[in-house]
Amino acid sequence: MNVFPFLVAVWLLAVGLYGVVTSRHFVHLVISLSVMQASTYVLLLAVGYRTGAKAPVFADIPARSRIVDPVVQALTLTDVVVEATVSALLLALAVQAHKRFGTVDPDELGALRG
Amino acid sequence: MTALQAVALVLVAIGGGAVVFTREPPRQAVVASLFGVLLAVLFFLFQAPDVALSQITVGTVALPLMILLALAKIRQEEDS
Amino acid sequence: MVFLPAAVALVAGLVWAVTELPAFGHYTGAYGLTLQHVALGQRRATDIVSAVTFDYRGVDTLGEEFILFAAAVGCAILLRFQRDEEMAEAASDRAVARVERVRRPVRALSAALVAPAVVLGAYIVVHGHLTPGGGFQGGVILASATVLVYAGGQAVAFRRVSPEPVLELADGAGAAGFALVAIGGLIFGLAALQNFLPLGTQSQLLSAGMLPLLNLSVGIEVAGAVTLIVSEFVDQTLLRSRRR
Repeated sequence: MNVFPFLVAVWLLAVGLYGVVTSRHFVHLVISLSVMQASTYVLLLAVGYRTGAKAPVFADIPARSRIVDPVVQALTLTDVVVEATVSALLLALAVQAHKRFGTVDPDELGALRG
Repeated sequence: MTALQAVALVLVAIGGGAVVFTREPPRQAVVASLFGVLLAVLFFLFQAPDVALSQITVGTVALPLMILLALAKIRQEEDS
Repeated sequence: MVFLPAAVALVAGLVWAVTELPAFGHYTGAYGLTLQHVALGQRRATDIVSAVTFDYRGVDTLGEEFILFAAAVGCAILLRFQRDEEMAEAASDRAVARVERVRRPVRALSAALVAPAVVLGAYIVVHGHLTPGGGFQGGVILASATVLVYAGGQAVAFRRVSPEPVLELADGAGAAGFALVAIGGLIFGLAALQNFLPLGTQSQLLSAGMLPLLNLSVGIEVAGAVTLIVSEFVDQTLLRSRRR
């Protein structure tokens, strides 16, 4: 039971990877990529968790109470916003690819033409 | 690990599978938004309110919006 | 199928690695345990996650912010007007037709929610060092306020509410602001990104040194970048190719 969150993270990574590899639509690929990103968030937060500890905000709890690790939360929260914009970049790529080559199937977008 | 956290983890695992196995992108955008909400609940249960706030705003507003706009443009190109 | 054995090997390796981690709930990292005791006194910021993001690990946030900036610029470049496209004069007709297609309750609700969204976004940006929130979350909420205008069917009003020069200015100003505050440490004879403003008393708005400044610049930048990306996509749906 005490490795269950990590196993869920590995499952999300595997499922997302399967979705990326077997995708037939570029947008489906980008969304499966976001599932893979979610697996890293779950892993990071699970590593930093302490049983019985509170959230790392001292606004309303006494200054000496136990808190969960704030460093992994700092990493994850910037990551969430930034990966959304990177997904937007990939979607822009998909739109332009469709305009140029008329298809959104990743398997057919093989050769780069000038 | 509390029972709530276990339930949330199971829901997130099921949600991830649902997102990947929904093949049509318009439907997948909605399922991805729901997956985002489940993730945010999980983050709250892991005592991470900052991350949950980020996930709610990004995963339910920004990301599905960009997906649907890209799909609208692609379908527009196919129709014309 | 090459994928299946490779995937099985990868998953097996990951599961083996994961079982070697400390058990869930028994965090043993030294950094987090030290921060729990010293962060409040050293930084006078009650939101320790914001203190870590912008102060202790400010360098990582600088890098992340420039990734954001680069992604927004990349979207703007990729979705630029091609030579064989035009902003069709049918675009405004299409926008007007879209306004009529959207149902009235949706339009009313979207219009009513714009102002509260702006206020909420500003509140979360400004109180980033006191309560959960900060520049990143508040910036996305501010961007979603302009997106609500578009969702209410007002594609043309969306353009007027968020004109492109303003968005690019906001994006650039936010990124530059962060870099300037980082260099400010150098100007005052300390290390870069080191705190050079007075710390103040905790739980007040103007406390925690340069944290409010960094929150503000990140909030402006994220709002500008996300709105810029969304407006690029919206522009694309209003385009028509001259080839067809």
